[in-house]
Amino acid sequence: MGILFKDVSYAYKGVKDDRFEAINGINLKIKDGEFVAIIGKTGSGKSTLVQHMNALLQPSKGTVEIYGNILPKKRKQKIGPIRKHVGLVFQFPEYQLFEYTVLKDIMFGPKNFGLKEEEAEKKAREAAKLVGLGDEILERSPFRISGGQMRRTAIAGILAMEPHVLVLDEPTRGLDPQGAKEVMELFNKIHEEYNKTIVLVSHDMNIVSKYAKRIIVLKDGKIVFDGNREELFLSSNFKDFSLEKPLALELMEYLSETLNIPFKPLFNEEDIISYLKELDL
Amino acid sequence: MAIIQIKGLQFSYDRKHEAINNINLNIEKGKWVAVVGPNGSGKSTLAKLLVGLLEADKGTIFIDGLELNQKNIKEIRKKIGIVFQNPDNQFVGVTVRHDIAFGLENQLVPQPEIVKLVNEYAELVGMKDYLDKEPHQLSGGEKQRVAIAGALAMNQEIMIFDEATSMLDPEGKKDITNFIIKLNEEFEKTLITITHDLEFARKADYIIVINEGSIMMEGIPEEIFSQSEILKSIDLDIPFSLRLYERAKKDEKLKDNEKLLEVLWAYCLKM
Amino acid sequence: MNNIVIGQYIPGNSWIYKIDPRVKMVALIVLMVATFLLNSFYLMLIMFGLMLIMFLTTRVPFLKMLRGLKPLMFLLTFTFVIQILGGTTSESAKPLFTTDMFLSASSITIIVLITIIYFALKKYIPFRVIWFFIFVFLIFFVQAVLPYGPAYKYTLTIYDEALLRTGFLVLRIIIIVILSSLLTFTTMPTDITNGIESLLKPLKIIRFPVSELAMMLSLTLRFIPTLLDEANKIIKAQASRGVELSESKFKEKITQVVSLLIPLFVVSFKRAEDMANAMDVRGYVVGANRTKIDVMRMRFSDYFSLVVVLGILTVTILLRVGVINVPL
Repeated sequence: MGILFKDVSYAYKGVKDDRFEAINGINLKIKDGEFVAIIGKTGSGKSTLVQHMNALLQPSKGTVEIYGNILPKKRKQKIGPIRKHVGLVFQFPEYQLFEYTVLKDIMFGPKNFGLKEEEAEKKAREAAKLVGLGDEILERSPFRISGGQMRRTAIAGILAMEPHVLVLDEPTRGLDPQGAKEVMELFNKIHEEYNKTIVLVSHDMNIVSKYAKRIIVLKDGKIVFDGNREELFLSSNFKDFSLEKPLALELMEYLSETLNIPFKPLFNEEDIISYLKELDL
Repeated sequence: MAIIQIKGLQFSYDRKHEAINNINLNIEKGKWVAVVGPNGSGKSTLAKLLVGLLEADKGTIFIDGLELNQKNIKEIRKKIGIVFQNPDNQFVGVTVRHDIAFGLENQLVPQPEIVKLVNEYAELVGMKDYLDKEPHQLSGGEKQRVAIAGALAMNQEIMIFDEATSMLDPEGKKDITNFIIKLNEEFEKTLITITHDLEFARKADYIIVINEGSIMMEGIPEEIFSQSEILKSIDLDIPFSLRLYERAKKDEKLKDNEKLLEVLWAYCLKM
Repeated sequence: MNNIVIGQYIPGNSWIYKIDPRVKMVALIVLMVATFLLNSFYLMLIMFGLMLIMFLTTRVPFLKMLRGLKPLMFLLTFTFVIQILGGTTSESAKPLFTTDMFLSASSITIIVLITIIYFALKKYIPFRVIWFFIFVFLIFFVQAVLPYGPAYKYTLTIYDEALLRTGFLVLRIIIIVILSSLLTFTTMPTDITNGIESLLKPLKIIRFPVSELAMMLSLTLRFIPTLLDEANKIIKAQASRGVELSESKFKEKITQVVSLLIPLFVVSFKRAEDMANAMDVRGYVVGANRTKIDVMRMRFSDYFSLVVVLGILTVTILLRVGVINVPL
């Protein structure tokens, strides 16, 4: 079923009655099993857009359909259950931990969505295993574990809800390169093994170009690009998007200049090495 | 004479294991030293010891000839400053103006002088138009710029940056990184940048690799990067270009291509 | 993305913005005391007139000040009703209006209906205060015109004295609101803190930690918007895990509130530790002397204002004590 945006606009009401449109005229369809990245400068509307996907915000204009539920909601409709479909992992998710033990915290989400104690515990243990948290961590206080383990606990807390879609808001923010790699590999695994839809909001072009199959660029609240990575990074108005180039691409450009080889858009080590071998320099 | 002299430094948080285990280190004036290491290696602990937030169990630290101890701490803090990782948690003032002034107020600098310095350094970091803004109206990068202005206004010889860019978005990271470069080149400050990002570390004059509280190796960036196996063994993610160079060097077909390796290596060291 | 600014400060540049914050705070207290010393409606009316004129010269937007009165509407109306119904104790009071009132079957029924309509439509009415007044008026009007059915009859007499008394109380409250609004609208929170610190300085003699108090105040000011942002983020994060307080049962609500409070506390404690370290390193020593970037200098206009305000206080004291006799 997926998520469908029809002509959606959202305006924040500022304290001084300033209305500025955070997003404007968004038309977007996200199908099951996609890996989409949403990128754009700070302030381009990414956070606002993404918060509509799990009904944290409701559109001022237009409609959003989340797995059959239409927003803006009618008066009597409950919004809580809708959030089960789309799991939103915020920046620095470790800040949301609060329970006595790691296990209890992971169970919090499922229990809020109506699962009984045993069922919630089962889902929690599965999620913990998925993110690589050992059994010994489960009984510890979430405040007495390392930062990396805290983040994984928070992620498990969302996974245990078994959402159809995972929305990740800057999942690697504040992590060292090693940690960032592990986290992205985890999400990629979840995407490939369980066919979960992933919506990734990130500033990191290297991660975006490595994992995302579809990239959406936001500028000033509007979608200015929706396509795959080759189309994006080679597009003629790439400069207008105010984005960084991935390291791999920059290296390719450098190599093609200094070694006089034909440029090819490649985005990771393996491909570059293979290409260089092909060329027979 | 080295502006920072560390001898036999030892520190432990809980008496169970050594956070800092016998570190000996000299840092020359005007140099930019990057301290890298995996999580838990002791890098932040070292920074806190250097600014006197923690007291060493054993060993001595000399800052510009003065021994770091309870008696001298006030003098020492005039010579060495630090910018922390979390932009919000070090922003003291109600507005940008008040935050830059904070250190100067503590030093009993006369009021007219404070006003002058605040304006001067706000302009220097490009925050002159933001003097009356409150911290929640600023981005992470802007807040770190204010922190830098505050430290500059104190005219401290030595500046430590403890993972000062790790919580920022790429724009902010670039911004602060450029400032740090400027501090070293234009202002000739002695810099210590603590980071787990080797991409950033390679811009420094000298790199010190710390693991489990001791110095594992030290040297200029070229030397350090040529030891990529050791770096990988302690879970340090080596820069992309370096990874590619290593793979080319090991590859059957590419390893004999001198021109290719030369070009790749040059790219690794490029700023 | 944040439009919250600390405090209710409205930027401007009329004369009141240039007055020393200490003078403003002292003036506020002095004028409040003077207002409470007045004991006649007509004197209160004069004071109200003076304060209103002063307010208008400051060019602070009048509507903003009116908004400050909104929460008091209920109290003021209640006061009015009590006074009207209470009759009078003095013999010199002149009845202005008398009518028979009926708490009858018909009037009570209509009153109940009106109440239901009032609450039902409240959300849709733009001028809620006027709607409220209409509601209160109708309650009494209905009692006057619907005597049908078994009824309890009573007489409502509105005495001139009651009206004067109400006017006195209402005007007094409004004056207080005008004065305190003026302070908060025209003085930046940092200036208020500096003013408090300066005014309390004499307490240093008895070792009262004035500077530390001022530092705590300004740190609080600095962190309120940040904490609000933080709380907002936590609410959203927990909402994404199914916390929707408006839709949950009572028992669930408790855990859910805990899920909001604990992260807020944890983040605040970490923040406090980091801040303490940062302040330490930047040379802050509790109890030590510091200079300040902000200066407060008394100018002629400040002394003049003080004199005027003290003059008003003196006059009201003399009036109250009877030294000056005015036939009001």
